[in-house]
Amino acid sequence: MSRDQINEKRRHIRVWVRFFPDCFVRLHEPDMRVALLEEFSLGGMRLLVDSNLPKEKLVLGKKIAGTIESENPALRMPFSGQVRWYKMLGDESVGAMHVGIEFDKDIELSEILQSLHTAEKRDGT
Amino acid sequence: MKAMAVNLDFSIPEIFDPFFLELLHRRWTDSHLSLGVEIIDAQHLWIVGLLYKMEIMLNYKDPNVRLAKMTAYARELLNFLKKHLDLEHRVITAAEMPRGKQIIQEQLSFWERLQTAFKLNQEGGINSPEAFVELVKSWLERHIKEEDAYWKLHLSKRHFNPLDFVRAVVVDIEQEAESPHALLYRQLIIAQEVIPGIRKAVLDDLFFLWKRFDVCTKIPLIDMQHLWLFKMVVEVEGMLHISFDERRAHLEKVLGELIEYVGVHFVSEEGLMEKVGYATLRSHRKLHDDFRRTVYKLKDDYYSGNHHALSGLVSLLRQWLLTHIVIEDSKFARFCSGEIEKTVAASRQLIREKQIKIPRDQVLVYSYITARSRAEAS
Repeated sequence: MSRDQINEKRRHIRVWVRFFPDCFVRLHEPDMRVALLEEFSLGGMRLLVDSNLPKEKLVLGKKIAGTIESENPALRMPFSGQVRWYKMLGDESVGAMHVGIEFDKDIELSEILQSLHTAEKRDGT
Repeated sequence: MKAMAVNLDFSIPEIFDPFFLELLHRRWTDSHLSLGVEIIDAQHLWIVGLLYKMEIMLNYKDPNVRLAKMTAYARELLNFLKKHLDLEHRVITAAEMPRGKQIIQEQLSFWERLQTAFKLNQEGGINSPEAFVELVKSWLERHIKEEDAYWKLHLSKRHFNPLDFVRAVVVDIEQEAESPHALLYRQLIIAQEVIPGIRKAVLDDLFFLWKRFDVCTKIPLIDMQHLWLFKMVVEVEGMLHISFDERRAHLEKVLGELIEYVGVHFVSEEGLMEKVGYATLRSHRKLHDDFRRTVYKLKDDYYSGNHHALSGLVSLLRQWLLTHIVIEDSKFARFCSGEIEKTVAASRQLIREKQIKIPRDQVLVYSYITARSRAEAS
């Protein structure tokens, strides 16, 4: 699925955190592995994971859970949510994919995430 | 499923680790890497930043995290270097430089070697991150100080302004200006700020206070607010050293903000204490109330014409806040220490319920001070 075909509405400002913060994501479900946090918002996050994650485990809407780990306690948090989209990073030879996750409503977001302001919709809706 | 275009306008690239930025700034200036051509310098800064991160990550203990991060950094570096070299090749070609073709060929040959070094293993990780880092390191300084200095000199000799010349060959100047590397350059090198709007001297004083009094509660919300109070006290104290007439308007404003924020902090702290069932909340609240009354009395004295009340108020704020945090709030920290995760979750719930606000600057100050503390401890 291409990112241009994603059925999602941007309700929150996204923060691009790809390289500079010392954090990563440890997925517990559906598969134990390390992923990199590339971007997050109050509503969810985009991860970079290696392509060895079997595609049958990445069904859209599937439950996903893990922890954001960091030396910064204000970023650290457990999370749960759903896979909303995924996309290979280039062709198979690149060996990585982006995964978009929407957080469950009832999780307590870390202080850093909560310090983000909700984006104002430009169309007023 | 209904298709809908993603509105990328909502994305705000953000450089997020102020303490790393401080280290990066030091490395950039100590190594004399500035060429004086903003667009190129911004790209070089990004390359230096990625490389520096890779060097730090080489020592990371968890092998899975190390490999994942090193691979991602290396991939970004490889892709970014390609774009960077493409731009420089356009500059070299447009400038009709002697030996231009040879320089371009040498750079392409370097990039091909780098691409070879980015060899992935079966798990999708880079095989030898050490070799990758060494290859870029050995090339980068020579590239900036010799190759780029050479075309800059050539342009100057031909009476071209190198900055304008480079701008002219950039394909999309607006995209370049809004790129993460350009944002990083403007913040760190032009504005010289690791946290926008907060001077380095204030951060140094704040770190000194934090370290000296050992006031970390391990509850991020409370630590963030304490740090913000300290920061305001440091700023107010700094103003006491300039003449009264100069400082008066600004001091009154900052002091007003400080007193207001003390109130915000007390309400937040008491809210959290109540939520986690802190047994001595009532006596703690009384201390807050007594302090509030004293502050308002001094403030009223000052506005009634007693200018000496101002310095008394600043001294009181500093002394009381420090003593209160070191003695009284430490008791609360000890109470929470057995169930710190529960306390942190309770504080996050209060933020979610909008009973407490966490401004961005407080998060950045907290991130800076705690990262600097960890670096010093290790």
